[in-house]
Amino acid sequence: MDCPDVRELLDAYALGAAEKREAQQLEEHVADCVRCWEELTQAQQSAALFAFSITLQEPPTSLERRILARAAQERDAALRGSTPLLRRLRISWPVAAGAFGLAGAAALAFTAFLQVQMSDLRDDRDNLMQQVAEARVRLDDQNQIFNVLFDPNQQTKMMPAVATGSSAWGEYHWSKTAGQGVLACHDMPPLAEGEVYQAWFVAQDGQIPAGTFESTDGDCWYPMEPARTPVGLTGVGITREKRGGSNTPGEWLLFASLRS
Amino acid sequence: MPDVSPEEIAYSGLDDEELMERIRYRDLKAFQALYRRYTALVYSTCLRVVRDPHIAEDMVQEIFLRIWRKPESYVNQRGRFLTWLISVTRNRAVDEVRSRNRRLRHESASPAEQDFQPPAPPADDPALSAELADQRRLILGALAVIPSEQREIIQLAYFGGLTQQEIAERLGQPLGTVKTRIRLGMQKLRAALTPQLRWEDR
Ligand SMILES: [Zn+2]
Repeated sequence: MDCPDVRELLDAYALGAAEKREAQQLEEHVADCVRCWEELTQAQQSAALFAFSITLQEPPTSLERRILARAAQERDAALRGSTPLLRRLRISWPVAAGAFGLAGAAALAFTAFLQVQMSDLRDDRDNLMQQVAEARVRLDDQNQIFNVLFDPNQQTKMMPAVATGSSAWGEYHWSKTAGQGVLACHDMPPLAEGEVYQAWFVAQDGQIPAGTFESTDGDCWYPMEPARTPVGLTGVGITREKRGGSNTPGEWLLFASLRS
Repeated sequence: MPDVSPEEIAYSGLDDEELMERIRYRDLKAFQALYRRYTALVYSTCLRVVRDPHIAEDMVQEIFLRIWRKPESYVNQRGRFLTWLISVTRNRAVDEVRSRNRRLRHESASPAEQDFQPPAPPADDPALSAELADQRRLILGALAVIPSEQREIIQLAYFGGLTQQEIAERLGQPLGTVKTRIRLGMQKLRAALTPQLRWEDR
């Protein structure tokens, strides 16, 4: 098949109306002929546009639910099949979620990212994002993490342990542009039965509870609620409290000063 | 879509490529946005070919889940996602009909003709984004300039899954005539759309 033959057949091929043998010959030709390949691309676009001529109807809304449920299920199954390393990325979600609505716009939040354990992946943003996506992260929170990660200007603040001898440490990443962030803590002292970690904002006029969360292995990530960021913020910290949270912070486990 | 949250608005503002990029990272919200953007088109195309709502639904599920599982099967070419999606859909639908071994022998010129709506402003577009609805208006307008005997044959090929030879047999026309009509029809379509084709290259 030479170029003129191919040109004659292109439209029929793009519409799926070429005979099998002809179609094969055409494919062989365009594999080596850039010009015919370009023409074919054009023809395929025209053919696709043709689909627009039909009467459009919506499928039942139940179909969307079915498909999304299946997609979520498959993603979770992929996670279960993943390595222990990836599973470590599981985020512990706030128990007292009530303290935290969704939504909210700007300000500060915390991200914590896989420091030590993930150092081999650290340079590879794509990899990192994939892992976050595969982790059991609530979708809204996942989006928050993406927003922070996608921001090239994201900032990081170390949260050192307050008690001497503690190996715990934390970090948060936050994006001014996204107005979001996520907190991470590592090697946290274990929780006793009925205890939770509690995050705090420290502002000029006091300490403000910022949600509680748990972890079974001492590693946790916690997205902060930006809408609740107080004015005059001077620090953030984490304590260990009775389940349900406290109104005044106990002993600081981690604390970062935000005074500039 | 009722009750659109700010987040959905943010996602619906992403273009196809950006959504696909996020789908690669298993972002379910992006997947949902993509689904909502194109479900009517994909479903209607399937329905047009297989003519059975239940089979069409199953195919929509299969097509979208395939995107979810293997987003890399779409090779990023800016602005070309729609072309790719439609051709995947059409081919899958035609294969379905073939594999069910009930080739649409009953596909006749007249019902196909009924499906074509002259460029009256489509009233059935609430599911489409404004951008897609605009494109659709242009295409309906372009189709209106194609003589019906050419349009009919193109429909038999594209939605009926018939080859040129089969179309010739079906319509009792010489093969040469069928080939010519396909070419002329598609040329006219392209010519009518050329000024508008820029949207493909956004
Ligand atoms: Zn050539």
